[in-house]
Amino acid sequence: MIYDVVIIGAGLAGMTAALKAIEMGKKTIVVSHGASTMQVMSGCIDLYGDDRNPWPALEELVSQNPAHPYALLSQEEIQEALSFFIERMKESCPYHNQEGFTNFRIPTAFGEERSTCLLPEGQFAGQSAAADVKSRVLVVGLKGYPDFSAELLVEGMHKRGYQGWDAAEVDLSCLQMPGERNERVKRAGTSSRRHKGLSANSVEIAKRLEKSWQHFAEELRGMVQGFDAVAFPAVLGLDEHLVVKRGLEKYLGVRVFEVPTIHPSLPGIRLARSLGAELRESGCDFLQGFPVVSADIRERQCGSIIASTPGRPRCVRGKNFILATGGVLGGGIFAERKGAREVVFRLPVANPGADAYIQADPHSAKIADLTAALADTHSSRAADLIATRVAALADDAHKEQSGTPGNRRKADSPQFTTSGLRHQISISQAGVRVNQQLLPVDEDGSVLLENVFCAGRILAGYDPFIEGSGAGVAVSTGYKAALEAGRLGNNE
Amino acid sequence: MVRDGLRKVVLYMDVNIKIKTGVLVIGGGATGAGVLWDLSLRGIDAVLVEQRELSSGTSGRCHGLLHSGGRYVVRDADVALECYQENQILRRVAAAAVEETGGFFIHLEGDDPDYVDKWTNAAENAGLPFEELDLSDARRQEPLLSKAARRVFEVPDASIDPFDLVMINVQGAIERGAKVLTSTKVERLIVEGQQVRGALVKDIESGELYSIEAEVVINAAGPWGGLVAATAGVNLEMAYGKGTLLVYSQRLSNHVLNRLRLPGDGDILVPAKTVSLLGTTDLPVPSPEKPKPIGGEVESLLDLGEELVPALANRRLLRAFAGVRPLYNPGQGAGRRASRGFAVIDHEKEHGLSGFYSVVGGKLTIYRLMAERVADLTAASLGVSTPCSTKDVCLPALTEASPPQDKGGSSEGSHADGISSDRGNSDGGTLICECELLDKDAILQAARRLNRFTPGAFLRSTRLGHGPCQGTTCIYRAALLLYQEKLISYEEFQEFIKRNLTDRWQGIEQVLSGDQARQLELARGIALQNLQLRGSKQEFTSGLPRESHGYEPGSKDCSQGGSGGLSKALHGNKPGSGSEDSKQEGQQQ
Ligand SMILES: Cc1cc2nc3c(=O)[nH]c(=O)nc-3n(C[C@H](O)[C@H](O)[C@H](O)COP(=O)(O)OP(=O)(O)OC[C@H]3O[C@@H](n4cnc5c(N)ncnc54)[C@H](O)[C@@H]3O)c2cc1C
Ligand SMILES: Cc1cc2nc3c(=O)[nH]c(=O)nc-3n(C[C@H](O)[C@H](O)[C@H](O)COP(=O)(O)OP(=O)(O)OC[C@H]3O[C@@H](n4cnc5c(N)ncnc54)[C@H](O)[C@@H]3O)c2cc1C
Repeated sequence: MIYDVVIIGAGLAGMTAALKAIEMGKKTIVVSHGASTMQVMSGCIDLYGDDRNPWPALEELVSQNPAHPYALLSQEEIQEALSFFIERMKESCPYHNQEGFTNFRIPTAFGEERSTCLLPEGQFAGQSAAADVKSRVLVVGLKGYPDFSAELLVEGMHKRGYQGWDAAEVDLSCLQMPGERNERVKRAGTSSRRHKGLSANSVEIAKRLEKSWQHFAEELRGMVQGFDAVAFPAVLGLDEHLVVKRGLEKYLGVRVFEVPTIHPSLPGIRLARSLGAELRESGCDFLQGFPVVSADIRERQCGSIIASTPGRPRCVRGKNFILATGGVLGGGIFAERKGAREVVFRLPVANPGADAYIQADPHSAKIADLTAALADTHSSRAADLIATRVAALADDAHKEQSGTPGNRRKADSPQFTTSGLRHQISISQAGVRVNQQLLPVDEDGSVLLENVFCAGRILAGYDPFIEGSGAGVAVSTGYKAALEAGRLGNNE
Repeated sequence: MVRDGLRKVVLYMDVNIKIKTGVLVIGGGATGAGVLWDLSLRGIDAVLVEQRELSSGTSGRCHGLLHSGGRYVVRDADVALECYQENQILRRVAAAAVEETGGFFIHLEGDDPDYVDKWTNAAENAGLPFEELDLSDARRQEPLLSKAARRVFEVPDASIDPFDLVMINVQGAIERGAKVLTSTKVERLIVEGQQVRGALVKDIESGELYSIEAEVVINAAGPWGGLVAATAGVNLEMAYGKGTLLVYSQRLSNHVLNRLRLPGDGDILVPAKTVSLLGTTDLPVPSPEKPKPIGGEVESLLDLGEELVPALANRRLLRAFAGVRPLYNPGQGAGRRASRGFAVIDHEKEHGLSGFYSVVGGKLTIYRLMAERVADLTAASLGVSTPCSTKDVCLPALTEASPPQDKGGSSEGSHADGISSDRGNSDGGTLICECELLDKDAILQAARRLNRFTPGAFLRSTRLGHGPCQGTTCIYRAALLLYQEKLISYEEFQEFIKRNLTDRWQGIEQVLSGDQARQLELARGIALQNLQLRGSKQEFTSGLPRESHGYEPGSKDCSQGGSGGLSKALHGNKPGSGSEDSKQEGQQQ
């Protein structure tokens, strides 16, 4: 069997690509090693930055940084991708957007504010609550769930002038979690103390709520009077989330919204499950649980990829491939002491973030310190080490003085890496460099593989966390990768 | 209550608090703690002051090797013998902090064979026990040992936990009436005529200055000893030797592994609880403050360590950190050639200043002996004839509910009540940190034990965030708990998380690869996305070599690269398990 499109990676980028490829009538398979970043993310699809209207800033970003993944798409293409995503998720995992895809503002678990572009239904009411300083919101914490504090959120809101917010706590025992605590024995090494139990995890709570949310609602009923909305940590159900959320709203007569906390993160997990279900229903194949370890390449064409399945490695053949293996976290890039590698095709890993984080002038002071140390060191090894370092620092200092303004752009922003080591720089922008078709290229821009399209966190040149662009890049480049792969298929 | 009273005096009348004591001990490392314990056994009234937290100096940054003497025997048989004797004593009296691992000295192919003979001769002459092992037997006991091992000798090395060691000494002393003040820095010694009368100290948190009056002052400030003495106009010639250590997330050996050659860098691997420590280096530095590992050191440690245990190359490195050796070396330089011996200085004899002793140099292994010597002098000058009994009296076992480190002698009744009522709570056992298995009770107790809450003190006393996940989630959870219990404010909560996340970075930036890099990406995502921490974005970048190219196809199996996926980053490599057996472990749960 030869697939039209073989997608490597089941993260947001790979799954979005699969949705589009299937829609284009392509025989598609998703091959993935494991779960994706969706397990830990908030479910919000960030586009870019904190501005109400992110598009002007995005335009500026793209003009200043033509290597940014967003520079590979037009604004229309990005919006098309977002619309496609919303449309396809409408039933199982509905998302809301504003006219023109501007940013929502929603409250965080600290009672601060964050921006995002597409909001899952569960978090939607948070934005109207945050839009009005006079809103009256009851924030409900769960006793026994250690990852959320209603009081903290409320205190943060009060500090920002939202005086109508109040905190309450509900005991999880109303979810009929009887004394069935896990006994856990301490692992190797230290003593064998026994602990009474694991903390309740958000997924467990979500599943219990699906069964007994009515009891929960009962408990809350008396408390919510006088409030416009009730907020919970993001634990309101897993697959039955919409039933739980809408049920609570109906029963309590107020709007209900969730505030994401830390992993396991239900809004992201729900998204992953909905995408998977959607794809299976539309006939997409899956090969899950095995890493792709290499590929068969001839004359810049990939014919098949090899997944390391137990016993005999499995070969998956295809006409076009989409590499969506994520970055360092997803597993697509493996960082090593002396470099980094892309694990499937051994593509070169570019690290454009590097120059941006070189410090302004730590060098001269450091050189002085080290030279002083050198003067009275007795060990020849140590002396060698120091001498090498001094040389390296001097080298750096020299480079920086003659550096281009571009290299110094962020030079005065505070930098964390205090080591001043020559080769210590940011990996946050490390990834594969691509051309406008999302095909991998080398430093000179020559195409390395002609039928492998790259999407999502594997791409070089952006930092999703600092920019607030993670899921936005994943959705839009995933969508575009499928378009390109589909187009190429048609030409043949 | 007493404390409130005292505070009011300060506030309204602007007078210094005065504490009066028999002996003032400066320094909350192993030496100071040992002195306090020794004095308390002799019934001498004493107060210990520590500028930060207990074990925050060199003691908390050392390798944790309870030396058998083997390392020093060629160069300095006396020091070696001292180590051996103390080793035997501590196994008995400080059992709570010692793990009897035993140690190997390993001669690798290519290392100077003459040194082996020198070593065995010296050990025989000094009377240090050792035994040559059959190579196959040694391999069986240490499967990860390099194939280049040619001869292996077993010695009575052991692994010692410096935090626990300091804690039990202090605990024992407090039970006998001694007092401990942390976050209290000696600004200068108070000298009247030719006599030291005490010290002017500063409460670091509040900025308050007050004086502590004492008949005798003991300077046990480790590498800071010279600075302390200088405030009384005394010049102690100290040299500072910085050493860097690498922490691996697993126990990689059963014994302490020493390379049998002239002592140098990267030649000792010590198993310590759930981790392993590889060290060290030795670089002269100009001051004892804030030692940091530098890149070259880390690289060279990694290379050298792999010679001894090749498997280190693909084990998970948690972090690198550095400490400063307090070397007392009148007229010599720093470095490994500087003496590891110690000196007790009677400043009356040396400088004509009475009531003042310094104990400088030495090692963790001989801290008890150092304490004994200075306590002998002190007792004599106070006219106390009770002899030292630290060789025989066992230190208390480490209790989690150890008494609070008392601030100024007041007892914090409300807190004690809080602890017991918490015990009754149904969710008292909720696990906060899954790596170190700390539950809610343990966290709250630790927080309340501190006489003043600071993130650093809290982390050190709980070890929170020191496990494989490096605090990715537990720091957040612990902070929420502390906030809920009103131990910290909203602002402190934010500060706590921010500081801890950035602190984690410090030791890590040098060792970033593989799972550790992945862990950092996750931590960055959690901090910046899920928690939307403000004002710290630039701080959250992480390091990797600038240029790196793909491997030649087929050059190396890279299935390992993608393995583990997210779950590894989320849960870390559980202690005691290689990545290979993580699957099996999953099944056991
Ligand atoms: C804690 C956290 C919170 C976040 N919160 C937000 C947020 O609120 N909003 C937002 O917009 N963005 C957020 N992001 C960023 C965003 O989630 C990611 O940038 C985005 O999901 C990346 O998607 P991806 O598909 O490119 O990669 P990933 O999700 O990493 O997926 C990679 C996939 O490839 C698979 N894979 C890897 N190697 C192989 C191999 N060799 N063979 C086979 N399969 C392989 C993996 O198993 C996985 O399925 C967050 C990120 C983190 C870490
Ligand atoms: C990298 C490294 C590895 C080592 N490995 C080993 C080993 O494996 N085995 C071994 O036996 N030894 C080892 N050592 C040596 C050993 O750690 C030290 O000799 C020992 O810990 C010193 O203890 P100390 O109490 O004298 O000093 P410290 O632990 O430094 O204590 C001094 C304390 O005084 C405090 N202080 C300073 N100034 C003031 C002031 N003005 N007011 C109040 N308080 C003050 C400091 O904060 C500090 O906590 C190692 C050392 C290093 C650097």
